[in-house]
Amino acid sequence: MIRLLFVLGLFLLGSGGAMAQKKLVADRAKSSVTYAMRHALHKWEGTSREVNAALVLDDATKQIRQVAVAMRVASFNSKNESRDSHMIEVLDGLSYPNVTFTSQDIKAAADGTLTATGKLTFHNVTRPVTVQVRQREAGGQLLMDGSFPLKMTDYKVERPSFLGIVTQDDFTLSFALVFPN
Amino acid sequence: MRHVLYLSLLLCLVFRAGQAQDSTRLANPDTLLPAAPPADDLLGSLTETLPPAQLLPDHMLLSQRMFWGKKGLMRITNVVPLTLAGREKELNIRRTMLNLHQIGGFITLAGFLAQGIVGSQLYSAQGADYTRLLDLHRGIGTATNIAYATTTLLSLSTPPATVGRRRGLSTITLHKYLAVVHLAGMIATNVLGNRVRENDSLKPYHRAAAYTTFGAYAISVLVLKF
Repeated sequence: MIRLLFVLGLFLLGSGGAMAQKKLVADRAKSSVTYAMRHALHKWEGTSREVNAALVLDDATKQIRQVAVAMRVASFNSKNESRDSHMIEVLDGLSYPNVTFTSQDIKAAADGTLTATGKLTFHNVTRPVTVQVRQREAGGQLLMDGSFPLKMTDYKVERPSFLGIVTQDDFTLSFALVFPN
Repeated sequence: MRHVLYLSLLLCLVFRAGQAQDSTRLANPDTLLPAAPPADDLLGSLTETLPPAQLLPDHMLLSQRMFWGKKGLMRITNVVPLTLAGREKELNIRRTMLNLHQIGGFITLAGFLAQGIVGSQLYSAQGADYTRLLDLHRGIGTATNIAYATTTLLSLSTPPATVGRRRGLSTITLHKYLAVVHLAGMIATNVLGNRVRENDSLKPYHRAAAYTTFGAYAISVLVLKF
């Protein structure tokens, strides 16, 4: 009986020590992910405001341990439903409906900027990416934002065309995530 | 010794209970983690809540709903069942039809421009020149009508997009509103053009309808640039 109590006590103390980490879930109403593309005739942006994001924060050190982000391809709105539909077509958004990011390593610089390396997946292609993330706390919220360049051909996406002219291969993905802290 | 252990255990339990109920510590008490899970596990919890891809949009044109809606002709006759693979094929067909719609649109626009030049020359032409230009005007008119009708039918009969019409004005919405204007103008131009043969005083109205049609059509093409 004494041994059992001893083991139970150790377990409870041990698990109490591991509780220094907490999972924060992003506020969907305040978070967004935006792509910016260019065509010979115009440039445009499409924004998703249906972003599911979560991070694991070490409460003691205030270091972000992990980040994951997911959204639907169909949730991007470029204020032109025909163009958005075209994007879903080229991304095979019915078969591969999600865009996801998972971090593998997060390093914090002295100025608070994070360098997150991880995996970005869409169009059934997963590739490593490195993202510079600005973070700050305001009003009891943890705010994170940044942007990084991508190429459509890297993800085996057939570039959409308009009037026979294809869009530029390069595009930018930017994000603004708000986590209640 | 036993009492000390009991007391320790009790203290641990009280401490844990206090942590679990302290809502100021965490955004959500359910998010307590024994250790950092792999980021893929973290992602799994996020993707589970994402809704599945929607095969058909909520809003479609009447012509599209009649053919391609859940209870459209193509579905109830089982010619094109509503499946994911089927919809992907439909979207490829749709893209081809819209590319042809763009080509047809430019051919029609060229026809309008040619009609504008020939039509304006008709007003000052005399004798044999007038007859020659009138024949040319009618010939281009027929060709433009065919190109216009083909372009319109390609647009109206495409399988529906994956995203339905949203509220608010967009370039594609403007393109569609202007299509109503130039379709009405096209009908008016043709009707008045036929009546001009018997009633010469209708010429200014025919010309006004033609210019309105051309203007609405040209703008409907140009707005897509933005």
